[in-house]
Amino acid sequence: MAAGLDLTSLTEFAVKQGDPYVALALHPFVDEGFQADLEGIIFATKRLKLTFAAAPYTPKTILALLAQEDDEQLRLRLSKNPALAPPLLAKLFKQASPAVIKNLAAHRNTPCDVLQQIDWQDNEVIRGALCTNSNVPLTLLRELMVCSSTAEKKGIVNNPNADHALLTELWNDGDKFVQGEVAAHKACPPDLREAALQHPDVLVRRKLASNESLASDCLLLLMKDEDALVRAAAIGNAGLEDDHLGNADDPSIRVRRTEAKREDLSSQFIEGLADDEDHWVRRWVARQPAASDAVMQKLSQDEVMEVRRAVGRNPSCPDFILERLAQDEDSWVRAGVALRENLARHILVGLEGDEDIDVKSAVGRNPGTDETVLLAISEHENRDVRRSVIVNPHVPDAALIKLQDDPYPLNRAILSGHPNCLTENLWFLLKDPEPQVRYTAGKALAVRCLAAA
Amino acid sequence: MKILVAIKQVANLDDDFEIREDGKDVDHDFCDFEINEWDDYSLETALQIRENNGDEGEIVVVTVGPDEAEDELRKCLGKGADRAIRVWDDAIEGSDQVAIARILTKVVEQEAPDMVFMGVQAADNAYAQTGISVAKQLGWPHAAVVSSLDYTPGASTASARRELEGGLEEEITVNCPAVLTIQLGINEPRYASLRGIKQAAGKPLDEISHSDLGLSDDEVGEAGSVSRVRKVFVPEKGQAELIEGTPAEQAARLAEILKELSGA
Repeated sequence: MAAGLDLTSLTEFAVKQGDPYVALALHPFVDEGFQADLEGIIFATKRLKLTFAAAPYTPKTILALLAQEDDEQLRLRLSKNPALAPPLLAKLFKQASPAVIKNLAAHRNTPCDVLQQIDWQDNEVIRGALCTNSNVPLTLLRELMVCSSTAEKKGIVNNPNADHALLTELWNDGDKFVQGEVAAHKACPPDLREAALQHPDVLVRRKLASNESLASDCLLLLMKDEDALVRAAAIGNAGLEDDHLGNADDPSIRVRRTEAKREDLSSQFIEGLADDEDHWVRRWVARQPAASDAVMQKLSQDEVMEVRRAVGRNPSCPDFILERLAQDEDSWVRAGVALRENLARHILVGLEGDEDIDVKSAVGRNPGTDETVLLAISEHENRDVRRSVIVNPHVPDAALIKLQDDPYPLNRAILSGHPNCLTENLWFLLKDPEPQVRYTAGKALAVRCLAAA
Repeated sequence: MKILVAIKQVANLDDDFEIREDGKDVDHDFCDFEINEWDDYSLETALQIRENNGDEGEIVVVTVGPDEAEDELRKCLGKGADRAIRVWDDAIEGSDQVAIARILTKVVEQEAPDMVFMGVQAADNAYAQTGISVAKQLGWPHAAVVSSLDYTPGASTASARRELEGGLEEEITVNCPAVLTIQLGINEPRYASLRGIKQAAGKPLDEISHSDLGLSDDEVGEAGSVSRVRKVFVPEKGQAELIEGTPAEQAARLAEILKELSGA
């Protein structure tokens, strides 16, 4: 067994320490005898019970125990807890007050059969929650549809369980906003797609253009729409293949920006956008992996700093350009270069002495950075710079030992949850003043103990 | 040089909470407790003055609060305060801001600091009166809502900038000793290092009662207060309407609402 990785010792420590957050972290990992000891700590006060009933990080074992208690305030919090599993939500329903039922109607994990039992006829809050709940089955959606308001119809139309017939009904009764959502729905029937394609309102055509299940021929028509927002939505649609893109000469900036963001641009298309007057277009083009050296060379001398940085972040950027960008007058550009994990050693060495905090942070994250430099960065006066070395895969142990005592709580929180964290760090952090850090350290230690057993 | 910093442990409400059975406060089961945000800035102001003075001088933190409030005093000690005082006993329960100020005034008289720093207001009750009330009872100069301070220990005056309404600021000179209420943003409060927190466990923390300060039962608690909480409640929510439709439809509906409200 690895040193410091004995679950029994860890649990005995937790019981002796009496800290509810460490006890909470260990509870799912220990046997029944120890669980009872930990429960005495976790449930020591009403305040703790209320806190843990509402917390999404609370383990399922504890949530199950809390759900057994006959306490309306606990039930109210549990019914809002996003981590509560379907069986526990079903259990809550058996004793649910109106406030709890309202939460159950909106909860994404509430089982279908429970949702069907909820009385919604005279309560518009519950009705509204059910309309948007993706666990509501089609039969219940139909019932809701009969007496739903315009706002509730907008909830139903976004529900993934709506079928062709329901969407058609919504289209026929709805305003342009409802029709737009119908057009964007993946189950939108062909006749409504055709109607949306010809719709006089831009909103409906734009929503249709964003529908990822749309066929290429329909997208090609929308790419020729008179409205720029419709064309941009069609070009941004993930279902559109790159060979349908055409030329990079759309008069609208919105369209060209959307084109430049696509990840599948051909080098020819990139050439067409590289001279764009809009710097956002050039910025996105500069990050295109298929950009040629010539395009990157040109954009690396762009007057706009963000464009130059984008070149430095491009995974295909050659060393001769990176060498120049590493000496850019703007530190944000140099920091972009320093973030590159595969950066040539001679370029990284040049950046290791840079005193700018953005560059320093980037160097701290870079796996190629020299250990002595990382050690120095772990002692930097800026708390955000110090944090950078925690996530470096080659961080020296000595730096992690320093950082476990960092005065900035976020740094210790990041350390406690990162795979780089040493077992020695985790034991130290079990006594941290921040509950979040103690909980994360306890959980990480328990997982390591089980893996080592 | 001695600076006294008065702090308060304040309540943070849960999303769902219940009012206490007597209807005069929130049930503490539904609250988290922490140091009043303004007081963090007050302490930092004191710590920076001492650091700029070659780390010479003493910083004393004081609170009027129950056992749980000791946690906040320990945090202050962990950040660098030298000594802490907690004033509490059953008779103090129910004290309003004037009675609390009376207690703090006695502490100030006992400690005789060169300056007293307090937060502009407490995040939970938001009276914004305690600091000024202490100054009044001491008969000391005061400045409220201080957003910038230039003070050299030993000097007979301090220069301060105060926030006024309408985005205005006022620069003043105040005679020392004085009571200053410190505004958020005057500095960047530090975090306590773990070493500091460990060291704080060994620093002195005095617990005293109102009688230790020479105050009678009639001067604290409800008997010594000039106001009493009658009721704490959640007010009824106002009406709201989401206006939908085309811009023209929305404008028409908005015009209707304005006419309804104006009685036109």
